[in-house]
Amino acid sequence: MTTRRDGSWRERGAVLSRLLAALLGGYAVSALLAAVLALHLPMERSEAVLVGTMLSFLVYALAVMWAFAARHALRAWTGLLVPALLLAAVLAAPGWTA
Amino acid sequence: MMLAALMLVYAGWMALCLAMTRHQRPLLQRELGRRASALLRSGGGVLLLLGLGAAVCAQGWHIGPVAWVACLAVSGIALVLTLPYRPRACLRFAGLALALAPLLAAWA
Amino acid sequence: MKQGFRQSMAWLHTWGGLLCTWLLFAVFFAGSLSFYREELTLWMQPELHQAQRGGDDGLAAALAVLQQRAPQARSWTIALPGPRDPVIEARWNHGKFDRKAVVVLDPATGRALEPRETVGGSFFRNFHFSLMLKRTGYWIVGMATLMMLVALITGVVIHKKIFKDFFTFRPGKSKPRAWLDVHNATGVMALPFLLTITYSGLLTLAYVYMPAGMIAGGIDSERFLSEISPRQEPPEARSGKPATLTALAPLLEQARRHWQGAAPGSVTIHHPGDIAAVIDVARRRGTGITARIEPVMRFDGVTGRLIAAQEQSAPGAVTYGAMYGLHVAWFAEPFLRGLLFVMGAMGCLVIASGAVVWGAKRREQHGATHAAVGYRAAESLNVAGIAGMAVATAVLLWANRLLPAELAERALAERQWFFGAWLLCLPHALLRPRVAAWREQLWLAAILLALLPFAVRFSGGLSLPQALLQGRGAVAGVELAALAFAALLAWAGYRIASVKPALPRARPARPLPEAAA
Repeated sequence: MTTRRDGSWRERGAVLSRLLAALLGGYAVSALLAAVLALHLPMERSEAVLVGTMLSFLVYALAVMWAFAARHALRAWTGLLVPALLLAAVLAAPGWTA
Repeated sequence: MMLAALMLVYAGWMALCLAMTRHQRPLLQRELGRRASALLRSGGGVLLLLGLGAAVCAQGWHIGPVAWVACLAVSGIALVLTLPYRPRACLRFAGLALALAPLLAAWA
Repeated sequence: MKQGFRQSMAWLHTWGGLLCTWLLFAVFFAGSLSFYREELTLWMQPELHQAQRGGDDGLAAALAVLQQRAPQARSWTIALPGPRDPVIEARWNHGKFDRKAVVVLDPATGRALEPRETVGGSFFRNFHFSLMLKRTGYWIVGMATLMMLVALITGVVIHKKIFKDFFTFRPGKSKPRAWLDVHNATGVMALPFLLTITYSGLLTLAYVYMPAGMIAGGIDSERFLSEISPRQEPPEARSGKPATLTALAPLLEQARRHWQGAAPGSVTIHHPGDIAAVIDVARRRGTGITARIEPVMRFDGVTGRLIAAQEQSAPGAVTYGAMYGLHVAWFAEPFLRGLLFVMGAMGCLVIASGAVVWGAKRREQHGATHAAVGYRAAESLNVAGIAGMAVATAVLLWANRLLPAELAERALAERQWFFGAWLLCLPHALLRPRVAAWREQLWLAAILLALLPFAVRFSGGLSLPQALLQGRGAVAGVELAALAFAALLAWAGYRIASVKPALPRARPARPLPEAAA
């Protein structure tokens, strides 16, 4: 994230890519986390839903920060997609649903 | 009682501010020693906590802390934004606030 | 890469914040006014100014009205008067929501009042989370709110001397430096408030933004808020056998005792007049810090026997209720409400000063020549977004007083006046020189607000001296606040007028005029 004043197209593309990673990737991670916690937290279902939902917004904010803190845009994407895939796997795993 | 909390918190901020070397000259025309600064710092902390006590007395344990945080923010920004223009008046007001606080607490 | 981290966070803070500046300012501005939603609504309905609590608070009159207007309704709901709302409201429900199915009564006399149709203080509340664009607006505001949360966290990360600069404000230094001091000091002092209001703001619309957990958990997200409140489903169907309703007053008294003196806020009667009637008494909102999970007591509608006393005590739901409660602040008594309003204004100041720092730095770096296009547009948006918002609010309050009370679609007309005035502020800001645009809009708003107490001549209702003499705090408060804001805006316009248009920055930093004061 060096200075952007010279604004080459390459850099603008990278910023756009990070922005998409932040908004879409961040949302994917936080929404999947909310769903996983809703299903797997060891408490009453409605409580788990609330805890998961409340935490997901903090995760979203941190994900946005990560997308712009990562050294380059590709890393920003992988750093969000890998946790998203892991969470999706937990969600999809058949025997695990409580 | 809430007014007392606000006054205590204002005085507390002022004491913490006075404990900082950079604010001592404009406020006191001299620099304080380390002992005096440390004393002011702990005094300021005590005043802020007394403010919490007053807020809790006024509003109970649920709402009191919220009211205290509100007092911290409002009196803090009032102090910061007026300090460079009227440092002496701020200092006098803090003294007045400190004197008024027990009266206000007793009255309400 | 510590250094790199802080730099990238600074970049995110600056550009992300800037992108949302005007939107966030509008949200904080309208949100701060919403702390006084009920007071504004009362002020905007002069027909209700004389209403007074007393006797049985109009309960008998409300029941009589409901019996006469809607004997066959599925349910009746009576909203009892409270400290901020002097009237009693009787609503009925035939199965689907009908805005018109309501009668407002003076609790002291039992007389039906006919308040004018108005957007009321709810306008600001609705605007601050929907921009009057329904779902689209929720999402736009939601994105900006998320950015606000990110800006708060990154702001703490990049603030190197958070404790050393705690009380620092140097109006004598260069313009960007002085405004950065304002931005930092306000942000740090109001940080707990800002974090709470931003995060809880996201949570209040969690069912819109983040339904994933609810879907996974099998909760209908559209009914999420009623899922967490301790209200039961409506009881079984009407039996068809008529029966007399039990007296309400003893039930309210029993509920009050059960809640250790906390007052009931509303009574809902399912199947009135039927032998299957059931009465739900809900505690007045704002008794504790939580909102949306007010306890409910359910009684048999014929015998008056207590069926159940429901209270939400699950820790997750209580936490959510507390976050919701902190956002809407129904618990705040007048003094605390005032402090909350000031903190809301501090939020506006943080956002606006951030934009000023950006503009001033940019002007300093690039000189006045660069100011030509992009900067000019941003500056015009500043004027229309900040001063224009004040103008539009003042116009809305005047429209409320001037539009005939019986006008059809009156609330819509009020809204159109607000948005029309706001829209006009933009071309004005673009066409006039920078300082003139600021000054003219600020002074226009100041004049409109200063004259507001005279508007009572066109609408009836209590005038400011009458309201003061009779101790009607809400009515008097709105007008006194209008006068105070008029003074503030006039002063701001005067100060801006005394700032010379940007000189070329060849000379060392010129002290701001404040330093001379």
